[in-house]
Amino acid sequence: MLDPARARSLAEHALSAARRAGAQQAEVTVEAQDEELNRFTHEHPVQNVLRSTACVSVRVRVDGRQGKASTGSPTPEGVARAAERALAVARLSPAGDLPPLPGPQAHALRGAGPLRADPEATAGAVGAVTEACRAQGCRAAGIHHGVSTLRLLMNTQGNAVHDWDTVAQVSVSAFRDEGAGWACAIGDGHRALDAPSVAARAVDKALASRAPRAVPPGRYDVVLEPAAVSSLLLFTASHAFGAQQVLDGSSFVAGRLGEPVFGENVTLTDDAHHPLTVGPVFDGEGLPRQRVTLVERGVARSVVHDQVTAKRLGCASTGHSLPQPSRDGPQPGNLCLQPGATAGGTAELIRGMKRGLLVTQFHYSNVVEPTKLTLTGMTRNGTFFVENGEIVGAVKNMRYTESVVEALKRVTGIGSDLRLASALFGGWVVVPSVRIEGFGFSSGTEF
Amino acid sequence: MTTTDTLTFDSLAALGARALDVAKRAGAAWCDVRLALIEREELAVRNGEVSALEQDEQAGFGIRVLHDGCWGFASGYDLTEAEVERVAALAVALARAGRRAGPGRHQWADEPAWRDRWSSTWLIDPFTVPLDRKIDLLMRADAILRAKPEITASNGTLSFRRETQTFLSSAGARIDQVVLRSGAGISATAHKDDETQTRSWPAAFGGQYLAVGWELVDSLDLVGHAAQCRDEAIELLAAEPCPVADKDIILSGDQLALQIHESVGHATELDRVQGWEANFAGTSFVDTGKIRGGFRYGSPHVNLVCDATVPGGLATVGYDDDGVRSQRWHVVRDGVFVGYQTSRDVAHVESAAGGGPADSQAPRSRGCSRAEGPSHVPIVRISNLSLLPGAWKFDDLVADTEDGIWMAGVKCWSIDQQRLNFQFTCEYGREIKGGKLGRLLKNPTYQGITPQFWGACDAICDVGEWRLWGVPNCGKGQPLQTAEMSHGAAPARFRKQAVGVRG
Repeated sequence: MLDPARARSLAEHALSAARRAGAQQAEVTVEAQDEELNRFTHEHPVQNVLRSTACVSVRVRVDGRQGKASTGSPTPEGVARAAERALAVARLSPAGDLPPLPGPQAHALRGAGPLRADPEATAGAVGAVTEACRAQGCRAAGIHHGVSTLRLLMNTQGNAVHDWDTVAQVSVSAFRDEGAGWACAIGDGHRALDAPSVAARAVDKALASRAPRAVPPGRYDVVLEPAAVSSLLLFTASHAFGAQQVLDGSSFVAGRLGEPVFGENVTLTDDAHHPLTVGPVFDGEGLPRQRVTLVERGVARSVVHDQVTAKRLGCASTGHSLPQPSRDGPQPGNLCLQPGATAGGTAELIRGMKRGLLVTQFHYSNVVEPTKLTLTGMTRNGTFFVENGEIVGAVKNMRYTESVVEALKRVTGIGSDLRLASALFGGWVVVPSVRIEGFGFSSGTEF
Repeated sequence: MTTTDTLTFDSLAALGARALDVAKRAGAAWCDVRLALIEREELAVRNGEVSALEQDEQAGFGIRVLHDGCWGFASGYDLTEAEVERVAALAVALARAGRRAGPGRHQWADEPAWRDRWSSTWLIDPFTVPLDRKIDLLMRADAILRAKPEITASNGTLSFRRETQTFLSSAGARIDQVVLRSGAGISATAHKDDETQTRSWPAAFGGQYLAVGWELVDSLDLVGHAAQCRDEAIELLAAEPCPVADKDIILSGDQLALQIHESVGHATELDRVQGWEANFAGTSFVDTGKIRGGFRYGSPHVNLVCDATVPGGLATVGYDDDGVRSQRWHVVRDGVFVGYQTSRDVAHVESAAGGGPADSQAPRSRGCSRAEGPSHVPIVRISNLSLLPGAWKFDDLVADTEDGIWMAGVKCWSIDQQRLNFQFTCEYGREIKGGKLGRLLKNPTYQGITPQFWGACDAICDVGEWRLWGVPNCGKGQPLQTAEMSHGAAPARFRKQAVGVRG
């Protein structure tokens, strides 16, 4: 893998090449990634992988025009060629009103180290997981996964920053009869992940969710575990709290900053420095990712910006740029839902629910209507009926179709069990379990 | 050799041979190597400004080793002999470590060790078309899209990709391939009060993609269709909502392409059936008992055919990433399920269940193993899976429908992890009353269960309405890999479907 010194040397080489080719300003980003993966079933490993990739992108400016080129060959020749291609692109591009490349920035860095791949230890951990599942009569599938990313950004205006970001994950699905369970543990790669306990949680859920019964579609009070909450909030991040969506009018926050939009118990921030989160701490323009309060006790306070939207609206970037130029505009990448007054998590929220459903995970959620943030998706890997504060049995999976804007006005409890969580289409949020009144389920399925 | 402009098939093959040597010396039962250069060009204009303009070149290699029944895969990007040998040794070490995780698996279907060269066909190499001409095209379309004040976002995209790959195997195969594809499309988003509506041309999410050259862009006439695209988005702002009812629906070809993809394509990937994808994208209701059981997937009108040889298909290749020659086969014949999509390491499962290629005694892969690029491990991917055309003219089909909705353009899709319960929302709907297209409907939505839905298909339009639609963004696998494939379809009717947003 590229080390920071080598990445810096390549970036300097690319900047020199860009200047030689006639660039007035230039920016180089280097992203190198090492990934270790053991993907398994109860029967055998399916994939056993070590991937190493590197990408160097060069963005140049000349006479108000911009061009970009990238290469997967991190060599002096490769990056010089990318710089020259970027110039050729720029010279054929229309002139635009481009925000300046930022100068030197002070960054609080995450400072993780690279992943130390250990295939023998990984395979041993996987063996323990599959054995734990088999011992309970469960089929299983999962991953033991780690990825280290070195990011470096340097520009001709004196900004130079690099950081490591390492994410390790054990994710296990267990199945027995019609029952399905899932559990996962995520860390920054330095803390040991307790693979056997992840397997035990997945198995417990699979055994508990056997013999599910069908319940009719309709509105149910729900307790959503953090993984389920993540589906709702990842779409909220991408469709509502970026300034471009506000400018387009497609965000429900457009024109409503300062107004109540959710229940008073909902506070949302975007915070790349939350101790549980992962990902880059500087953005695609090399600016520090700032902590932004998006919703404070239900009142919409702010959205996130890059330099393009900030210039248009006469404010400052919050450090949420994607790599420029960007079609999607700035995006919150580290949404955090503030923990609530309910000490504990799912179990405590269930105790306060008279009749409803416990949802482990949502599967394949998507946006039906962007402005109302109406989503649809399926429950997965353990859905349970709750009566008088207790789980009384498993239910077959159901499809939800619900407006997140409306649902977050009906939150009746938020746990203190903060987790880093993700969903099918990727991204990360830090969220606790949540209880919502009258959540809409529109149809059912056969399992 | 470190610069991409000096890469040739022979130089790649010489490097790959180093990996085969390392694996053979280590006693590997199988080794294959893919070395590739991927070139991309992405252009986008949004609201009159260039929002993407990038050229990208990625070269790299991936080495897969089977040792003592366990697989190892390692990849790298430094195209030197020393690095290829180092990464090959890593792949061997991974395979050896695999035994600690569980018992190995030995099945690997036979295939001749092909030595061949294959290429997509195109008329105009899109990488040779001047950049300023491309930007000018997008700018002209964009100006029309934005010409009315209700439009808050206009988008136009052009996307080109060429993969030049050499595949070598320890069995003696060497396959050189060039796969090229082009994509183009526009969209307009209109907004008023609390309503936002988008209309796209010729398809949503980036437009149409085919394994052809710049001639695709010329044929789509983005500028000529911009005004209609814009005006339909604006008209949708004032449209009635889709009613909640049971109605006959006629789906457009591009929407059917997505329906085929989600409810047949993924459901018949045999690795999903085996549970290999169970922790991520999911499993499948199409268990192996269905291959010989005459399982009714749809009505007798429904014929679904995989074809990795169809001209222009995004999954059209000479050989897959297991080195298996491309094929054409039925997945559903006259409504009955008859075949899976397989790779060399799951082909035996189809064979044991009583299925598989009819011309092969031993288990043979259908040739569906593909990787996103050389740095990813190949997995089973959907081929070009198409609904064969019927005999109806579109106007006759509408005239034959008493109470229905015409739905076009992909907007929202979701399906359960076994591929049974789906719900789709389209961009554009028109009520059908008494055999005539009537009022405009926004957010036309339908929900169903896969075999019942295909069982309700009673009419399919003819070959004159049939188009191959590209899916450039199919996600599967952990870590996520993106694959591309096409689905051919003509508009078709499905009786008494649940429409409207319930709940």
